[in-house]
Amino acid sequence: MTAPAEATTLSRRATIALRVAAVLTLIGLALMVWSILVPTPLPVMLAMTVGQGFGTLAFGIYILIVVRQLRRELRR
Amino acid sequence: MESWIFSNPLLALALGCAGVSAMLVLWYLLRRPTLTNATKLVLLAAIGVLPLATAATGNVAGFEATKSRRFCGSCHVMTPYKNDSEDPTSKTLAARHARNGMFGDENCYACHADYGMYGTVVTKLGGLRHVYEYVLHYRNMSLEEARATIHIRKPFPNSTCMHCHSTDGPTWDAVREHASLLDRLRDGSVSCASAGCHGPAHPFSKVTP
Repeated sequence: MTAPAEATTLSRRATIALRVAAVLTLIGLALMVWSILVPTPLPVMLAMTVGQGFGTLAFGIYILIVVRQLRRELRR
Repeated sequence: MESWIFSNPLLALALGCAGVSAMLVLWYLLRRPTLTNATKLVLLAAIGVLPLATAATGNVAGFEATKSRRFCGSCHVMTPYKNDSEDPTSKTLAARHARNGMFGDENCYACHADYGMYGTVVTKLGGLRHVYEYVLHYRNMSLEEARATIHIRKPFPNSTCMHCHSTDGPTWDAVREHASLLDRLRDGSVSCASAGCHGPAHPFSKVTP
C-alpha cells in the first residue's frame, strides 16, 4: 500500500525520536495529573520540574522534526 | 473521583486536556500512522498545545494548592501545627486566624508568606528550602524531637500582621497596650506574637521577645 501524496517519509531516527517525544509527553502528563490529584510537596515539585521538563523536551523534539521535514520538502 | 476536582474549573480543564492529549499520544504510539499533515496537526495538539494547557492550568492549581493548610500539613512534622489550627477550642493565634473566614484553610500561607511585589516568588523559594530541610533532616524525625527542634528561621515580622492590622484604626488605638507600644511594634522590637501579647502563634512556638 502506498502512502498518501501529502505523507512525509521519516527517517528511522526521526521516527524513533517522535516516539520518544510521545512517551516523554505521557510521562510528563502523568506527573502533572498526579500533582493535581495529590497536591502534596513531592508530586507538585516533580510536576513543575521533571514533568514540565519532559513536556518541553518532547515539544522541542516534535518541532525539530517537523521543521526539518518542512525544510527538506521546501528544498525539493 | 473527588468532588473538589470538579468544583474547580481549572482542575477540570487541566485533567480534560491531559486526558485528550494522552489519548491522542496513545493513538499515535499504537497505530503508528504515516506522518501526513493531519497527523502533524494531531501531534501538535497532543505533544504541544494540550500539554501546555495542562501545565499552565496545573501550575495555577498547583500554586493555589501550596497555599492550603492541607499542603503544609502533609509533612508529618507539621501535623501538630495543622491539628492546632483545626482545633475549634484552641486559642492560639494560628487557630484563631484559621477560624477567620478571611483566611480559613489558607491561614498558614496568610501569615508565613512574604508580601510585596516578589513576595510569592520569595515565599515559594523559601518553601523549597523547607523541602530541602525536611528531606535531609526531618524526614525520619519523631514528632517529639521535631517539636523541640523546629523553629522559625528569622523572627516573625510584625509587618506581616500589619498588612491586615494597620495599627492606625480607632479600634486598634483604643487598646492601651497598643498605644503605649506603638513605636516598638512598628519597628519590630516587640513582637505581636510574644507570649504576653497575642502569642504564642502555635502551642509549640519558641520564645519571642
